[in-house]
Amino acid sequence: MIDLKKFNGIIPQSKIKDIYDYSIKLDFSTGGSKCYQISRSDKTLIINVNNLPLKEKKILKAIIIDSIDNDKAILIANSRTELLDKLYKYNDSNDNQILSFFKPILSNKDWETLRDSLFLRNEFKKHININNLKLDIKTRYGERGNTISNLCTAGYFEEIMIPLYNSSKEDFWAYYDLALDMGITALFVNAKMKIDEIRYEIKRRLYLGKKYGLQYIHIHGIGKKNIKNINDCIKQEKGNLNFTEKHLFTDKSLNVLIVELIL
Amino acid sequence: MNTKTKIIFGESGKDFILDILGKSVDNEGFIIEKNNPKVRVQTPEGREITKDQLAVIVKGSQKFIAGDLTSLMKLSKGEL
Repeated sequence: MIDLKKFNGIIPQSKIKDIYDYSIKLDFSTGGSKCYQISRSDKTLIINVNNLPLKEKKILKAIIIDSIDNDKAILIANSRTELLDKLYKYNDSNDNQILSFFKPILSNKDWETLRDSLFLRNEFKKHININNLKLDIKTRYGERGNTISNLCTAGYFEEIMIPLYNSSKEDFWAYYDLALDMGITALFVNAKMKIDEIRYEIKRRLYLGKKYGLQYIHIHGIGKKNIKNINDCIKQEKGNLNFTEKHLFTDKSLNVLIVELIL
Repeated sequence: MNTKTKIIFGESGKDFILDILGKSVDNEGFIIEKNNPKVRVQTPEGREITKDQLAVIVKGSQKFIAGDLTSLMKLSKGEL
């Protein structure tokens, strides 16, 4: 922790003793003449860098260098403080069990994606917007990461894959390859998908599912528009293709739909 | 983490932070050593990092860490 007495010259010593455990926020906005403000609600000491005289600016620079070199502080972008705080606190026993189970099984990359995805799911359950987290996973791990994230959010890892692994490692790997490498065990419909694309993806999965001996595939959708599109596509394809549909989960208030197509 | 002071900066403070740590930015946006502009700074995972991606700087040899979920997850688990 930084010894705030070092800010002598910027902040009166009398004010420092109350704020020894505060965060420090560097403010670069212009205007006003104050060199600092204390926000008691945020437990933050705000330094108005542009208002500091040259000598005090040098003191601030020296404090920052010393605190980083000696591991007394962490420099963090304002936009990421909330996420990092959540990650330090994140310790879900169910998620930890899933991660421990898969640690010796999955590749390091898939396991790390699963860990990120479980955190994302945790946020999703709290009704927090997860679009940026999803994008982070897709950017880092590509389409495979996106598939792991979707399967994880829908509960496939603990509900299907763990029991499968416990009953037959061979069946697990066959399923894992179909789910991850070929992406055919489930279709996650998103708002960007047009009707033709959804129909094509359903047909592709039905064809490959039969070819590789799957007994069913699942179609997932969240949101009114996605649910309507899924139902329309299934209705259209029912006459052409041989499958039976079973609504596994429909929740109108949450706007969530999971349909099983039995092959 | 809890024993360390958080020094929080916004987008407009990144140049100030990089400058005092002896870093600069090349014309492609990557963070470089001020006294050796050919050397791009790398994250602990060995990736070059842009000013836009920069989210965290920690101790000693000055680890520059991106702000994506995986990087911050690894930081929170002490893996970086």
